[in-house]
Amino acid sequence: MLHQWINQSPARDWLMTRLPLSRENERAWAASAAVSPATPTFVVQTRTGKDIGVIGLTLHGARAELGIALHEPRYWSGGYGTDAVQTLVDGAFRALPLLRIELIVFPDNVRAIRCYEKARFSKEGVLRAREYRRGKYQDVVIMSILHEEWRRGRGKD
Amino acid sequence: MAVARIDLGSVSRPAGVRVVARAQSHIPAIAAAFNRGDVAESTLYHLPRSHVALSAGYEGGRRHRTIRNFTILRHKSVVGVCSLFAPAFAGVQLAIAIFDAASRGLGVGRFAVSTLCDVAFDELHAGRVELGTYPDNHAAIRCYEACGFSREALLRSSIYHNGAWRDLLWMAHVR
Repeated sequence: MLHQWINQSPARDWLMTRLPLSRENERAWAASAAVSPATPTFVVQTRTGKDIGVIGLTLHGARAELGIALHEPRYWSGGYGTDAVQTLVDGAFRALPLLRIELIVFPDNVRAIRCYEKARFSKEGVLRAREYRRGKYQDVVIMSILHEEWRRGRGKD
Repeated sequence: MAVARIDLGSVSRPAGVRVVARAQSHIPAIAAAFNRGDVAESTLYHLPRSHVALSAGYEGGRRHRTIRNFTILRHKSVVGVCSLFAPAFAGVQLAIAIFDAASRGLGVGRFAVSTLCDVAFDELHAGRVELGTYPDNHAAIRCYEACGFSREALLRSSIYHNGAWRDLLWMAHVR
């Protein structure tokens, strides 16, 4: 399921992962992500229990990097991404001693940037020619939310 | 042990300064400088260094071609260190420290940084060289800008230094 998702994902143009991944790669990733305390990883489901994507963190001390992919396009623009990001950010800041959660995103992934902004991430800058996509190096935007910002925003939603 | 290829470009070499591949014989001077706190205000790596840890880093750098450690010599004394490491897909990260206060302000850093950029672009074929520095380290920022780096992002509360969380200015030189 994960293997098929990642290699055929309509979201693949936006992913930072370099494709294709073998079934073995993906199995190894899923197995390690499921047990490693440094990479809390979750499946995103609809209310009715349909799996639509994956979200997770990679922890580096008091910093964490967030990654998300919704592989089912009919669920794009439905608020699922924002809900998943907000839920994970909230859970992470409650459960883990984190100072900031950060992520990188391609500047033309407007839908994703909008989602992160709704989840109160701010843009910190543009890293030029940082990721390879469609045959060339492309810029990425770096965004973050600090523990302090999350704490101040609690209860406002 | 090869000396870094030196393409001076528009950056001149200060008198008596060389940037050479790190040797085991440089380790005691490097450990002493870090542990005296010579760069305590500006370094991102602020724990005391044992000889064992530094030697292991040196050996690792020699074995894995992905880490390139250099020593900055002035009149044959160790005055600083610089490295290229952890190549990401599109680039490498640069770190530099000049221990010797008398060797600051002479263009030693500018010479070392531009030498390492040449290594990164010409030998390692990196697409970008990146680094982090404290936003109030104006001398370092001027040096990086003179070597072609631009400010890309201010990473808020990214590093713990001297008892507090501090912002990190992220800069890069893109080929």
